[in-house]
Amino acid sequence: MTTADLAPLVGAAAIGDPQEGVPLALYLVVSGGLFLLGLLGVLTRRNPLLLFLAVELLLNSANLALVGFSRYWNVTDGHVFALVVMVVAAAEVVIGLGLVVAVFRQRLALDVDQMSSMKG
Amino acid sequence: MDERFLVVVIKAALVVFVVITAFAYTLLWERKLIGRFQARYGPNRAGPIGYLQPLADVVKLIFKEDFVPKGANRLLFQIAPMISVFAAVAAIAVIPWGDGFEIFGYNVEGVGTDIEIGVLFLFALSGLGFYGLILGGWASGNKYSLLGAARTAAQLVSYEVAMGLSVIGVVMMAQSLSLVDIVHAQADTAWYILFQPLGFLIFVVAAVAETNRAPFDMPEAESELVAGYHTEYGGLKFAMFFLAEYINMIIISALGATLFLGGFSGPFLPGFVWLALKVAVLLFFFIWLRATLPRLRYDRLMKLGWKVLLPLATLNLVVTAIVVALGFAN
Amino acid sequence: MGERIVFTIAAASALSFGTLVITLKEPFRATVALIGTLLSVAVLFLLLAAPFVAAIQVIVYAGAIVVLFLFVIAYLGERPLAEIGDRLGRLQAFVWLAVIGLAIQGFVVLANTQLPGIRDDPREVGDIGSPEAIGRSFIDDYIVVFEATSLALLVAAVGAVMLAKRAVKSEGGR
Repeated sequence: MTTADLAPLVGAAAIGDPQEGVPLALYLVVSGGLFLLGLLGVLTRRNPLLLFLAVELLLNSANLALVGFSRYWNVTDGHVFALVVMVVAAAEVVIGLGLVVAVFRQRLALDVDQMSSMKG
Repeated sequence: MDERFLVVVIKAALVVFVVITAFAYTLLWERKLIGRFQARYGPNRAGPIGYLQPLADVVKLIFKEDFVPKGANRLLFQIAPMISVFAAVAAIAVIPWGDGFEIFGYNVEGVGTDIEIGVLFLFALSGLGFYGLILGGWASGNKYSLLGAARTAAQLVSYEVAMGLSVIGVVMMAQSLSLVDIVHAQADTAWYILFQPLGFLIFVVAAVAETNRAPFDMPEAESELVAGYHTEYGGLKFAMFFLAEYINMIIISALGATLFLGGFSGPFLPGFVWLALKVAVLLFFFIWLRATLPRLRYDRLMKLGWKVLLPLATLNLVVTAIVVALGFAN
Repeated sequence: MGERIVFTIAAASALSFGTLVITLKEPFRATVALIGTLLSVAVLFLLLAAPFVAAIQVIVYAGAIVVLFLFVIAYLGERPLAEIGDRLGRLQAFVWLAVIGLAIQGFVVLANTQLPGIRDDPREVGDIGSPEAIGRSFIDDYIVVFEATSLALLVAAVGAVMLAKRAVKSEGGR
């Protein structure tokens, strides 16, 4: 899609005149900031619980970007996918924490660098 | 613009004042009712028939020593009761108590704010309310508190699922998540308790579990866990937890009245009188249950929530969905 | 005007709580910081005309997922933790370089992108965030996604129960 195709879609005539508010670029800055924080967390944390928290930050940054663009294009698709991401995050947390508890019960150390083999 | 804001502030203050007064007298009414159930008078010393008793209780609690136990996490220990109270009182904003009316030339709505996702807002607040008790249990630095908090949280989460499913039946019939729309839909057809008897039953059972009332109050059973998550709380902080619990009860009764009993609609009398009557009926039911039934053991409580209520709620949902989709609901 | 103030507060708190999440050493405090981040992002969703997504964010993320975290943390107790960056050793410099590089790249893209109106004040939107709009979108356009997601949830739930059963059995339970 070139810019020429986009112009009629988001042209002022199609939806409404701009009003005072917050431009999408600022929301994307927040989303990018959260993403970078999450990335730092994933790379530096050793304890699997803390690693999961950083992953949640990554997913939230994605959701924020999705919903922001959904507003920009005036469609609902971004909301739909944000909900899907939330559901998948819930499923991932359930299994991930189940694994953490299982590792704990085996009396192994809670350290992602040591949990590197799939055995057991 | 300023005048409109002032009207909203005055309305909010009045409504919160009414609910807190209702809380105080619900306390008194409960103690007197339970007394009568047990063939004795309730409190009747403070003022004639005891109606100054709530004032006496509050004054006593305020003047008690405000302490923080040694092993506790100071900040969280003090914030936890505030979170519970916030979650309970904020819910008042979306319960509709009447149609709009005009006073001194201003239009006053009959609800704090009619948001389009009213029902979801209440569930979100009850989710936030969990943190009050979880953080309170953890921050007390006491094993009984932590265990009580964990049990309570597990119970609340389990029964919230069943409650949510039972409410969806009503939402499907009213075609809206807004509480004001649901009341108006019931005013047009009939009270939803007639269309959703199973849903109402599930809602009531889940509501008793959500508010930690007997027979589902194992997490605060005195003989088991001292007092669960509020073991270490005394004085004003305990009063805040207490306030949160009873206002939760009032809000859930108001929600039940709005979703299943028609809310503020009714002939002759003004809206809020009808709502008050319906809430009083549900509260009486809560108190009656507490006076009558023995406490449920914790594992039976969880089994009831997951193995009985959840399948029944899903069945209710499926049947309602089929009926609404086939167009029989109008 | 009010929208800008609320946005500034919510964005600042989201980023600060996010920083706390990745720097606090005790899991419990990091989880409480995550709650702060999630609630700030929910406020941002409300500003983006997404009330349903905001409510679901609070109910599912802040109200269920984080409660699950807290349960597991309470069960495990506070374990001894490694320092930040301890895992990386010599690679720490590269990580910081990568993150800063990504940040610069992001700013450059945002400042130069040709998408119309992305740096201007937003236009009014129609009804995109209401439950009805989202429901219609799911049923009309994305029904396969919907069903696949519920299947994923079912698999996760069954998997978690199996994990728990196996663990109980390995410890000698019934």
